[in-house]
Amino acid sequence: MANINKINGISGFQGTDVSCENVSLYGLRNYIDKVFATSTSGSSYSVQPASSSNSPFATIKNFECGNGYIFFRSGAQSSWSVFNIPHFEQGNLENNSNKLVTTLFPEHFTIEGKGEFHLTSGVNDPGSGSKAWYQTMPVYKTLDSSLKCWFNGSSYVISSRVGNTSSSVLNNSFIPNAPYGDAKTSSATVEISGFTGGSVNANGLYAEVGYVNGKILYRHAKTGDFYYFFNGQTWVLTDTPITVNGSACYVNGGSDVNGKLDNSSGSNGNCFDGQTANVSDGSMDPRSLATEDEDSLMSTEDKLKVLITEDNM
Amino acid sequence: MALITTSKSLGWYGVHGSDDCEPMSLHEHFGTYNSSGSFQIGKSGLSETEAKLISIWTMLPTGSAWPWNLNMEQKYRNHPISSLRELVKQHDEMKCGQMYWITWTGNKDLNIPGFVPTALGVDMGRISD
Repeated sequence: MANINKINGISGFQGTDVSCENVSLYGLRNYIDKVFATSTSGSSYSVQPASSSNSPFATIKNFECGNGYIFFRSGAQSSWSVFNIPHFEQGNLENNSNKLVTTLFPEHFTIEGKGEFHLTSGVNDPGSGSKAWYQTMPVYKTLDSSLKCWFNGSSYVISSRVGNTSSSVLNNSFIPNAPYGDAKTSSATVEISGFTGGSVNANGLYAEVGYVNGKILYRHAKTGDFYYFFNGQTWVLTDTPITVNGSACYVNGGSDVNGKLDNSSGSNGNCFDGQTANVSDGSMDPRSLATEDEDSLMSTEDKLKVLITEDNM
Repeated sequence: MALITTSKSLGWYGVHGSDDCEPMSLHEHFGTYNSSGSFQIGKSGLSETEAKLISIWTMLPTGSAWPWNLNMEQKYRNHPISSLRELVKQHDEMKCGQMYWITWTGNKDLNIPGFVPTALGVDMGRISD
């Protein structure tokens, strides 16, 4: 939360690691005159009077998590009062050096055989419909601009131009730094396996997207819906960036990044009742770390041998 | 690093990472003027003409928007009146944990490590200690 003092102009960022929810701009109309945010075109700011932010045509209706804003107070200075914007972090020039961003997308990464990609403020390529932030997702490029990395609505794509799939490769992921087929990523990865039933969507590859509490923040590569982070004492899997507060579904792990997520008792998490899973180094074949399932793996290997033998016959 | 590729960009300076966040001196990076009025090229390698196309704004603690650009450097960096020199010194670096908005009308990409740009509808991250 941020208490907004009696000053005219305020800049800031919505969302902390403790909590984040969207906050209605219309609900703050008595305090705020106009709000500015960067449009996805990258060439203009969207400007929204708070008093009309409930309109169906309003471009900014809320302070949304993970977004930056500038706004100005309404009314005469004598009428200003201190007010609070929940989950908002003020960014005016002041002593605030310990407040840094834990990114939910990587700042840079290297894909084997393609090059090093950097986060941009948006790329307008011919054919991309002048959307610098294509599909409202971050766009990356190599320093020489020969390759772009962009989201097509279901997968990140590497190609020479945003929106153009000629000679492209896909990673079938929500984040840009997951491997592209056999092309490896420079980002750290972990593999989570073992969840069943309604929790099965949390299984899969996770890749580094940022840092929190001095350690890597991993994000579910395929969907982006789960986060694996260090809370200062233990590693935690959660569906809410990057907290277990509120209604977050989570399960606690151990003090090492590789280990077990265990909510078999139902008292070591929320929503993952009765579930256990293993976290392993993403660069390794997860089958090689199996212990309890060794018998079933042997069984699988035996079946493969049978199939190979039958094929040979 | 983040590449500023668009004419308008609003974002937070300072990212949690493997390295500590360091402030970035704008006049050292993009250029300034010496006491005889000659342009001093910055670490970015931008020419004077190119560097004049940058404005980096912040909101002062008083609630006033304040720019850094080469015009400010030229007018105030070496001004004989110390209080006027302060006009450029009060905002001549990007400090960790602050919000900035950047106007850039050049053709090259500006490389600003540690700057996290934002855009409507894009969830870029969370602020944490």
